[in-house]
Amino acid sequence: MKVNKKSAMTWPAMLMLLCFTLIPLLIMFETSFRSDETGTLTLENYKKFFTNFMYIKLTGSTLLMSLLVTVISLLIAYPLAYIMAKKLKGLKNVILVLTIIPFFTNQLVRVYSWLIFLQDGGILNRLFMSFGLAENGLGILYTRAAVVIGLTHAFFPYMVVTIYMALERMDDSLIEASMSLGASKWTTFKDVIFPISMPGVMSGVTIVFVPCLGSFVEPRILGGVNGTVIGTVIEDQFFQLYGWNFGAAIAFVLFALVLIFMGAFGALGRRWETE
Amino acid sequence: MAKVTLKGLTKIYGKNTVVDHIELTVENGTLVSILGPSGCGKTTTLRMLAGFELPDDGEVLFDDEPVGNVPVNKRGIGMVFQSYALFPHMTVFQNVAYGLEQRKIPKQDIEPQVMEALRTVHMADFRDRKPSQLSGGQQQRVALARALVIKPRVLLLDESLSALDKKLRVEMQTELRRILEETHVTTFFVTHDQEEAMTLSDTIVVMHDGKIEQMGTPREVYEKPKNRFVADFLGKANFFEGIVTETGEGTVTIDTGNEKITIPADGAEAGEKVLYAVRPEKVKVFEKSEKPAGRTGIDGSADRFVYKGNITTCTVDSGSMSILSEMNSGDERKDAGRNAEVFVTWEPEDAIRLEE
Ligand SMILES: Nc1ncnc2c1ncn2[C@@H]1O[C@H](COP(=O)(O)OP(=O)(O)OP(=O)(O)O)[C@@H](O)[C@H]1O
Ligand SMILES: [Mg+2]
Repeated sequence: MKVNKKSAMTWPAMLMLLCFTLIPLLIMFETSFRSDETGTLTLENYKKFFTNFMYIKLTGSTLLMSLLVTVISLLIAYPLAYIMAKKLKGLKNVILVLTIIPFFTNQLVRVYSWLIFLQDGGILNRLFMSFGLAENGLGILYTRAAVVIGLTHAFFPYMVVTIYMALERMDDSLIEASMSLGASKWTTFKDVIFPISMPGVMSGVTIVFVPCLGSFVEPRILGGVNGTVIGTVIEDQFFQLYGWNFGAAIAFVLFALVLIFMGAFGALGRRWETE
Repeated sequence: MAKVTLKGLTKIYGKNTVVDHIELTVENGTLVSILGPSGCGKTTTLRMLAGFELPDDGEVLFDDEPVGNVPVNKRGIGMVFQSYALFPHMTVFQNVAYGLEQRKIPKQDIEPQVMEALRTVHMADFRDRKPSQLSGGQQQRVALARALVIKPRVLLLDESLSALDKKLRVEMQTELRRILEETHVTTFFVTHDQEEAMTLSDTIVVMHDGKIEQMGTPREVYEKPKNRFVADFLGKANFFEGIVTETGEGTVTIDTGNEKITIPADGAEAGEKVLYAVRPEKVKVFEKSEKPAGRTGIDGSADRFVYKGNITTCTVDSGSMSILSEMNSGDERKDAGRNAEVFVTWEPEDAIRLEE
């Protein structure tokens, strides 16, 4: 009966998960099949989504935006994590703290800081204008670019941490072994360092990509009219239009997408598994 | 395949001179063992040979060419790391093939060479396994195959057989000797195991605190150790130290400070300060009643005779010092019981005069 006693310790956590995650999710799932007018079970909410080209296009552009944020994050996070783990052994704690500061800042504070920074009278514009680089200002606020900047800033630190951990775990003598076998620095990176850090890269990619797909605060505040994404559409359904049933249906389409991508990233990560 | 010269090679970490002006020439195709206590600079020396560390002073030459400006990947070295350093995401086969791929060897030639190398280390059946699915000893053998397959000019082995069990280790030693004789690759072999160093090497280098204490053939280093450190580190030794007061026919009387003792020895004059070492296997133990007439030696009481398989050891307490003796277990000998009164002696030429 030992096994039961041990598993009993997981019951509180299981109960929490059940009450606060699974049950609300099931309620939402059920909601997504209810008709707005009659309240009867129906597929019309999903039909509405898949038959309206606007929603499909919006999903596509949200995916594209999330992908862009993920790629930019990777380009920033990988070198940073690499330098921290393998080059600056002394300074790494300072950089680590600096990169994870966004973790601790409130989301709204962070987003409004960007708003102030990017707006027409903001620092960035004045800087560019004073150097004569942009006559009428950059006009970057309320564009997709502003959204991408805000989202990247919000999520890339997670990626730094996952990649850093993967590189930190890696034995330096693997790099030396590769060099001793005649490989150049680049080959060593491409064939040894990067593949071994792949599990960290893949969890970083997941951790950035998935929340981007559902984001609505950054798109709304920094993107304005150009910031419409799936996340803002769902939010509108719930809080502006009271179309809960349709909102729930879109949310589950998004959920399905997330599951598909997580599966794909997982499979990609497993290709480099060491077992 | 290269003659290797170390000229005044030095490495300093902070305030510690870890490798201290090492001078060493190793002829083409020689196997050199570097032996020494932990932290004496063996790995650091290898790393400078490989090019992973830059010397703070002095230089490394391959075939009389300084290699200071040659990066690691162009030096033509093969290295087996203390931690094996197999690529965890590659199979055994891919690990061994890696070095050949860097040399742009045609694909169809890679497979036979890899398999040949794997067969030499008895790992051919494991070609598709990942390193995490291998035991420590198996990983070590793959690492060896990976270093050998690229036919390096200089092979560097850092405690590369230490994880193997006795039987496998002896097998790998024989294998290694055979491979090295065939390929004629100059090899540096770092080890803690003096027996391994003895059986394997042409030359033994004994290091201590970053300096070379002595180098020579295994026989030279064992039979003619220069100083107390070498005599003590390679095998065991009984030491006799003091001022010579008298010399006789194959005997020397030494004032150790506490007492005067007369031992069988040669090559000293009265008034000299001397240090003699006597290997335990040269020390003969006689029961008091059987003490040979007219021979010089030391009286004492023997503690238990300890049977250790091929040898039997016994420590004799003379009151002021203890003398270790190792005898062949096979020799006909009466086991003088515990605390028996005994007499120990040796031939005068077996007392090795040390420098300090
Ligand atoms: N990167 C480094 N920075 C500072 N000190 C170092 C560094 N590498 C080695 N040392 C020091 O240099 C000395 C020699 O180290 P080395 O690794 O060469 O010893 P070793 O003879 O190989 O020992 P072992 O038999 O334990 O492997 C040690 O005291 C070690 O602490
Ligand atoms: Mg070492």
